[in-house]
Amino acid sequence: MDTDGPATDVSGEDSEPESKTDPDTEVDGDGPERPEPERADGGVIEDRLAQLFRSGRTNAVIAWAMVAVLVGVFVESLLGFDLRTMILVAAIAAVVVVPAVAARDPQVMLPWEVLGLALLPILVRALLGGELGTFATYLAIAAFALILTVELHMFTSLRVTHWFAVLLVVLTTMASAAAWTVVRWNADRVLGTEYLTTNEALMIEWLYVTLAGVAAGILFDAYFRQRGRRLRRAIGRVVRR
Amino acid sequence: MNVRTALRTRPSLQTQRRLTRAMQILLVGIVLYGFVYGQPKAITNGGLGLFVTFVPAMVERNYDIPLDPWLGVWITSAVFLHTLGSAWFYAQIEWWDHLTHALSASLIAGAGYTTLRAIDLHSDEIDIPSRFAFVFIFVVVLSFGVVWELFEFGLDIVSDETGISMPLAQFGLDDTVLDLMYNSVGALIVATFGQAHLTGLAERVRDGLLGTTEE
Repeated sequence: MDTDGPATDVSGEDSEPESKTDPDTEVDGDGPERPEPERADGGVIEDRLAQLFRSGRTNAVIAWAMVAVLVGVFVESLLGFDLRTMILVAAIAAVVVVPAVAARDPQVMLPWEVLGLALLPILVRALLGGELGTFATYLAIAAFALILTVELHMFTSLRVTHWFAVLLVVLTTMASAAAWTVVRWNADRVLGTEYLTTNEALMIEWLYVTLAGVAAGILFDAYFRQRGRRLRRAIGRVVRR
Repeated sequence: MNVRTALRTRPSLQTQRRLTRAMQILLVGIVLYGFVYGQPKAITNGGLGLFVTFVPAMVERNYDIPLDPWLGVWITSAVFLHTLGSAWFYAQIEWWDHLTHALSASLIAGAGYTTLRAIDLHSDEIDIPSRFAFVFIFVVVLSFGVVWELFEFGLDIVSDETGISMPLAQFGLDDTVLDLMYNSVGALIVATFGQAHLTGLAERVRDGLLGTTEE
């Protein structure tokens, strides 16, 4: 057993029961595959937010409303032949509807709060007509990275745990800023665009990106824990009964 | 194929020690040069470099992880080339900076990949297929690049405020982005060739650091 000592802080063994349930409940918590915790939870939780989420139909309606906005943006970019937006929105929409398509059930959708955060820049632009700041944009990218991670976990042979998913999201957010910088720099040189200005401006952008990545990591960690605890409590009551 | 055969024929421990020793002597020379001619940059960089060259031996002794001789040479030469660069070549040879960035990024990539494999082997719940490892190496190297450049930026601000000359500095937008791009080259090399060679190391790291999962 002494080998377990140094292992715990590396693999986060104390969070194992949570991490086992978390990535799954992430998407299909209100799906048809896991009816027991879903039903048990419904009566227990008074929290209005939780109720909204627990009800598979309400969550699906909100999520599909967001997809409708995506479709609207896509059609608009199609009419204006804005190729970049077209590709971007189509790819995002594809990722968003994957769970519903895979389960052949429109009620199996991502949790609306995660989806809302990931689509925030697009929603704000389409509905309110403004631009988000760097911090909020990269927070959205972090949420999208989380969605991708969870879907890869569900639909491929990739298996992650709660802490690994959080780490991956933080790193991916920062890496995406670096990759986008390289793309912009080369576009400035080859295509004559003017994305990048000075090194200082870029560093300040990266600083916000790093903060957004870390903030997203803390946020998602709390979110995972919260959901895991809620689910365990609900199961616990059913078992006692 | 040539590179692979060359890598597979392990250098003897003695050869590795000789190579490391020669580089350490040169690093001591750089530090001494710094003291004699009053170059604080040469002292800090040379001293740090010298310290890092002892890390592989320390890891072997303290954690009982037998390191591949090539790995020792790899780590030592990355530090060595950087120290040489900051002493002379960065200012004179334009591509020296790119070379050291690719080499140090390859080290970060190797460390990232080894950690990933060790976690993959150690944890039953985490399973990372090799095609994801390729992406993961890039993610680690790119995000580390962001942290590194921010660190340099911070040092620049501190040295502007206090007037103390720092061992590292940024040289503008183009330099920052080129750093990132050459970091990616290092990551690409490790992601392409490294996976086969680093797998054994990951197993030893798991055994030495994390302990085996068996009783």
